[in-house]
Amino acid sequence: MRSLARPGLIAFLAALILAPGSAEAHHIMGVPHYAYSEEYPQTPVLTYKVLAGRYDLRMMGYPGKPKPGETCTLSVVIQERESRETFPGKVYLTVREDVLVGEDPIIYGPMEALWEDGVFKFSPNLPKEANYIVRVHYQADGAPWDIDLPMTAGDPGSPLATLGIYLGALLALVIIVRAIRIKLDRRAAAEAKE
Amino acid sequence: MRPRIRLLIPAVFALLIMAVIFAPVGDSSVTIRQELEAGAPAGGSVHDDLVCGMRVGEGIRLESGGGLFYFCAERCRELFVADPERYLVRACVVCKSEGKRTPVSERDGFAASWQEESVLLCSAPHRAAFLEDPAGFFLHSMWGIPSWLYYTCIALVMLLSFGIIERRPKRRGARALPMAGESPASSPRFDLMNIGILSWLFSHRGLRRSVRAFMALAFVGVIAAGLFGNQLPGKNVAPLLTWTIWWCGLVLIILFAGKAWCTICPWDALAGFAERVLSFGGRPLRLGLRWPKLMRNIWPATLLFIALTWFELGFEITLSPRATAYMGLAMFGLAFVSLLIFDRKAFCRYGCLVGRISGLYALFSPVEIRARDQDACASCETKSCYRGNDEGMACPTHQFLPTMEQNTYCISCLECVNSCEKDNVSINLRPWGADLERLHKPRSDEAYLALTMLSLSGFHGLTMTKIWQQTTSWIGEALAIGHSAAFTLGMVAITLAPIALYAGLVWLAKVLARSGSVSFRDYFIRYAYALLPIALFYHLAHNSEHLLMEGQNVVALASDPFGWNWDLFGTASWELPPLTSLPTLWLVQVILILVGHVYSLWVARQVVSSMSLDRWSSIRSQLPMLAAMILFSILSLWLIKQPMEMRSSAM
Repeated sequence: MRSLARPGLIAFLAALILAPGSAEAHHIMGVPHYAYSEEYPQTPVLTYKVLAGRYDLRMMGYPGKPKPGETCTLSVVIQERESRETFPGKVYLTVREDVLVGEDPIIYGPMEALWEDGVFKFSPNLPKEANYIVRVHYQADGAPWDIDLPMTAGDPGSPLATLGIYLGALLALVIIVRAIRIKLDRRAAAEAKE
Repeated sequence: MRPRIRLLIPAVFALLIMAVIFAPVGDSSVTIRQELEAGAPAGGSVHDDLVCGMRVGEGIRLESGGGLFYFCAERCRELFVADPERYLVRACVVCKSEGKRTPVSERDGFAASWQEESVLLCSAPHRAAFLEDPAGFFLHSMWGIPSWLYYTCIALVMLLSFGIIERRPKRRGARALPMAGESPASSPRFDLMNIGILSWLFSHRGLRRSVRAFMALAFVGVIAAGLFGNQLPGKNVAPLLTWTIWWCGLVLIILFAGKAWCTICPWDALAGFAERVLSFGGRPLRLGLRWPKLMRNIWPATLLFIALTWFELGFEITLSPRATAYMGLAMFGLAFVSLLIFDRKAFCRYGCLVGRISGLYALFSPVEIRARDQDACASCETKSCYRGNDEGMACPTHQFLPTMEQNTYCISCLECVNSCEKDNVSINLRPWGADLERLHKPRSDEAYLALTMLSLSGFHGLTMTKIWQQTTSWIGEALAIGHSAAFTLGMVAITLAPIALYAGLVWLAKVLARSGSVSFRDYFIRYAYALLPIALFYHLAHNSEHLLMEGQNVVALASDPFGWNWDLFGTASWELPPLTSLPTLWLVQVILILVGHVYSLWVARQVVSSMSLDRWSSIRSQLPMLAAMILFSILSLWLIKQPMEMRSSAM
């Protein structure tokens, strides 16, 4: 639980407890890892490979870490492992914002891929500084497959906002206490005069 | 035992701990002292145990096939000798965590790295699984105590138990309680205020403020490191300093210096400082309301303790620098808000989990603050120790020194040392467990906190074993719920189980006593205090494992607390071996548990002596409690017998 770094923490954890475990009937590959090609001299590219049934799936994102509002290109290659033939069906993409409290809102899709030379292409726009879950969906061998990929726009992990809210809340309390204190002192002074 | 000798027991223990840290063990072991004297060549004498993955010194080694291999314990060396190939061939770490062995090579393996460590995985899904939680795969499993030691200690527990029950109380029936401030005849005291230099140190407010300011600055530094530093736990000083060094150090402080932590508490220091800064025009800022009557007990602290344990263990906060910092900020926030709204230091008195836990443990501690002469107090008209004056603050936790008979709610702020106009405050050295020898005002909220401490300290140890992981998986699968829900259910069950068991045994004690003079409630509350030494010494035994095996990493992190490749003191690249060898640690752990057991038996005897029971009733009523103590001590031994998932590789 590395991302406890936000307000609404308690509500989120309560939601976690109340949420039932994953019991979907179809295949969900879980939240996979991703890796940046750090040596690449240009903007980092997001790459991800996974074995999904009899298919190999490879996904690339460019830029790997887009700026908020920047449109990125996601290319998905799905090939049959033995024959290296491209997956013949349709592939869809959904992008959800990964929020701590409540259901993740869909901010893109489900959108059918644009097929180009064996590559399924998408161009989602990640509108604000946040963490996102990109989900690739397709039907293979009579079963639905969902591949989740985490993406990040900007630097949402920064603690400055949380720290600001925390200090702001304490300051607001100080001001309220100060106001009450002044009122009480004035009342006491008035009573003393009487 | 002669009363004066009891005063020396804490000192003997202190010497034992120092001996563990500094004495060389075995023919070629490298101790931390030797490392420091040698200038600690980075990595010069620190090696990976190929069997368990632990970072070890050169104590136990093996020359094999032209190579030199180092191990944490004989057990690892034996396993290596039996099948060296198993540990020399690179294998998939995810398969290894599942109990399988899949050899991988550079050519066909899936490479991944974390914290400058490279691993090979057998497949893309396993690479994905690794990268999802790499820290989990770098935890190493450390051997628990060997079976022979475990069974020997169980035999010792039985022998000690029945030996002590046979030593019946010399006097029957209730014993007269001593007058307020009067030391029981069997508990000697030594007033440290009679020593000039110590008296000067204790009464120097400027010195206290300086130490508190230093602690507050250190706290701010740790918070800054946690928030803005490198978020890899092994690269950031915040998790190690908080969860490994402070949490264990806190118990050590209680054991040797009572409530000294509260004296230098940075949350309170910062809250007080902030309040003074914000008191414009010299007017006090605080509202000074009385703490709500309904909450004038330590249930708020107990609930906070349960909540912290849930967060800490259920969400792996110990491995997250930022979450650790948020926990620190939350504690400061609670102290500050309470200071603004309520009278004196209500949070310290009722709400602070650290203050209340240390308060109960401090019943055992060898230091106390008391009125020296009751006649002097009787003739005092100002009661300045309670009300305060220009020399010192009013008692922040509403303790009235002449009638203060136990440590629980004193926060050792030492203000009464300054405010007392008759120079009548003594700071006494006393034997361990002096407050437990005479329970002056047993309370139900304290009894429940004591039982919660016993449950949760055991639970803490259990969560670091494989058994717990299997249990949560089983709960999750059986009830089709997620990990967090399974963890929570398991935690609730394990917290409540010992309390329910204890309640059952208390009921049995009452039935066996066949005496109507003591109620179930009285038994329940009073005997709960007798379990405090078991909880305290198990807490120490468990955490000494972390402190002695992982604490040395602070030397490197002190030079680079934020993980930004600094080298402030030239120690950033130091790799020191554990502070002691594994066999020595085992010995220390079992000694601690046995000492806790003996003290619990002793307290139980004192408890039963304070009840109006005849000889046979008192013996019969002790038997179920004896069973409880034996059970809890054996459970403590069983916990330290389990292989423990250690944090050091991740931290």
